[in-house]
Amino acid sequence: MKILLIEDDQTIARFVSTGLTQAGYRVDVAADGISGLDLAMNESYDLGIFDLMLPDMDGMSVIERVRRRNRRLPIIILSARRTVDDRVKGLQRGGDDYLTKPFSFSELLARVQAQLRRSSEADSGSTLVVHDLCVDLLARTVNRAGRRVDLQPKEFMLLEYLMRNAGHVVSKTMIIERVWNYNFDPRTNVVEARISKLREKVDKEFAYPLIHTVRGMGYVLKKE
Amino acid sequence: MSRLPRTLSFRLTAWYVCIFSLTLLAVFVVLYVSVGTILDHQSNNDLVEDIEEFRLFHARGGLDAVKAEIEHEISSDDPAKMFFRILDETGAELHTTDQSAFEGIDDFPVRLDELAADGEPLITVGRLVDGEHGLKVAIGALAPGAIMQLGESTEEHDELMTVVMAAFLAAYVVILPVASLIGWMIARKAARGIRTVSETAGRIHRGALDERVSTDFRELEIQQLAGTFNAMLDRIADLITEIRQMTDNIAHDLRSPLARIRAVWENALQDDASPEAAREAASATLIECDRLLDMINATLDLAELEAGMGEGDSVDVSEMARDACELFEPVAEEKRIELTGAVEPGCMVEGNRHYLQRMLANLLDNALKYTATGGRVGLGVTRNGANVLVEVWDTGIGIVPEHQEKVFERFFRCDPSRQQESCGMGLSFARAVARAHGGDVTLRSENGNGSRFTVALPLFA
Repeated sequence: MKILLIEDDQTIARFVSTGLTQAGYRVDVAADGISGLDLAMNESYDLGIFDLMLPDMDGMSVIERVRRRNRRLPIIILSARRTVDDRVKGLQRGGDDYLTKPFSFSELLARVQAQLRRSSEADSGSTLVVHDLCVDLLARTVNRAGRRVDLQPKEFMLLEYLMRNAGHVVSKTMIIERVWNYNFDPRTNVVEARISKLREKVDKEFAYPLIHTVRGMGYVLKKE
Repeated sequence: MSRLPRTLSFRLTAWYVCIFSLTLLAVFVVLYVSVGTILDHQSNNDLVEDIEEFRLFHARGGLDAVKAEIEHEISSDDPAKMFFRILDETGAELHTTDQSAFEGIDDFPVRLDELAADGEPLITVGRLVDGEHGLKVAIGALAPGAIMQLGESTEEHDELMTVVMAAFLAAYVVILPVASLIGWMIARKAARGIRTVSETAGRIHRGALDERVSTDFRELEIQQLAGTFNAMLDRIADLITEIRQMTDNIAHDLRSPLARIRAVWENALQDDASPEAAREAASATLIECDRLLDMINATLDLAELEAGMGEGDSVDVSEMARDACELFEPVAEEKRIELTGAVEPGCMVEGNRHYLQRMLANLLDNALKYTATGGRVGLGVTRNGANVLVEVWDTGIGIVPEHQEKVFERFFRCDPSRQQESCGMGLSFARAVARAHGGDVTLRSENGNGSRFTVALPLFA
């Protein structure tokens, strides 16, 4: 898996590329828009992480030009601009995800993984299965070990999101964004509370737990 | 042109003088032309009457009676002003008076052929070759074969017109400076209020920030200008005070986390410190960084909101409230708080979905935080006339009266030791959102007896 990082701040570029390399990705770093655009046009990448404020050109126009050439490349925008407007514009004009600086590396990594999975998963059908847990997306029913589990709509969406990212950590912010469509962190334990309710229904009476907390990072659905 | 003074008084005066003198000129032209025309008609009539008279003399006494009358007329008048002659039907001269003052009269057209059959006299006006004045000539038949030519200098007419012109010029020279002076005084008076306001503005600009313009003007427009100007100054002063206070608060709030970071690392860098101490310091620093970031973000959010919201969409507050209840349900459950929602469906508001979501989340979060285990929290959405009312109530600790307005201020905390939970921006953000949407938040609370926050937003129909 090859990632293109366009970022002019050397400290952040080194921080991100070291982390991604350790996580097993190959990373090319461009320090300005023109060389970044050059790489994006001539090399093949699985994902782009683009800063918006670049010394030579606006990051938005880099994204737009890359998009014209390659519609499927997942792009994560990294930006110090954090207003609702900036975010909406970034996503409308070609970004797939938007992360504001400063950010934690684990948050970025979780988002990178989610984007890479999304792009590789081509219409995975109407059921999601992880071990003995089975989610039917059309009938909107959940079964574990052959027993039916009743979930509220939001709980169902939360479980679906965890299932789609099975084996990978998703952060609290990602959950808030995808399941509740909030683009801010309410700073309370809403996600923890919701996860513990979900555990009661999905994990409690079964042989082994599937939903795990990863301290400081988020949650993951997997068999230990 | 560019060197003319550009002051309002000068311009008003210039316009006034221009319009005044043009009007005066127009009046004079009309007057002058009318007087000239009237005099002209008068002299024409006189000439025609003269010829009629001579015709009577001719009828009574023939050519001799006419000659006698001519002599009589000439003797009683200046010979340079009038002349008479009598011609036969071929134009040959039968009799004439002294023509010395009328040299060149022979070139004057004698158009016998144009004489009408009814004997109506013909009048032509012209000028002698070297004549100082014009000449008016009338010819008319006295009888067959006797045609009278009667000439009259226009000297008197010209003199009269010169007098009229001179009178006007004199009036012009006297009236114009007086008019200019009056115009200048009126303009100065009109611009006085503006000058006063601008002088005050100048003093404020140079540092006298507390000064205000006097609103004691008789002119309503100037009074309004002064009023608006003062209101603007008050608003600016409020903003400056607010910014100063906020800067103080931010500085204070930033200082504490920074002090903690510094202390932690100073410890970790001591010679006998263990590697674990460094790890602990790093993780403590991360937490403090997040806190700093929260604070800065909250401040920026507020600033963004107060700068105006941009375009809004129609937002279903009812649906949003149900979602928020659903989101906070498990949190309430953990604390064994009963969270109830009473939501009237379809309450629409025009605005920004994300801000409104945060406003609701902040209010609910606040209510849940300050309500003890076993209490109750409620969220209500109702339509009330042209408003949507969003109410969040709790059975929590309540807020003492002296803090009820302060809870909306940035960085305010009822209890200074409660630093861990939030940065004290939740309620001020909620109020800023409500106000940015054209509404407001009010609070009713009794100490120890719960609180009720009511957000009123304009209904979007």
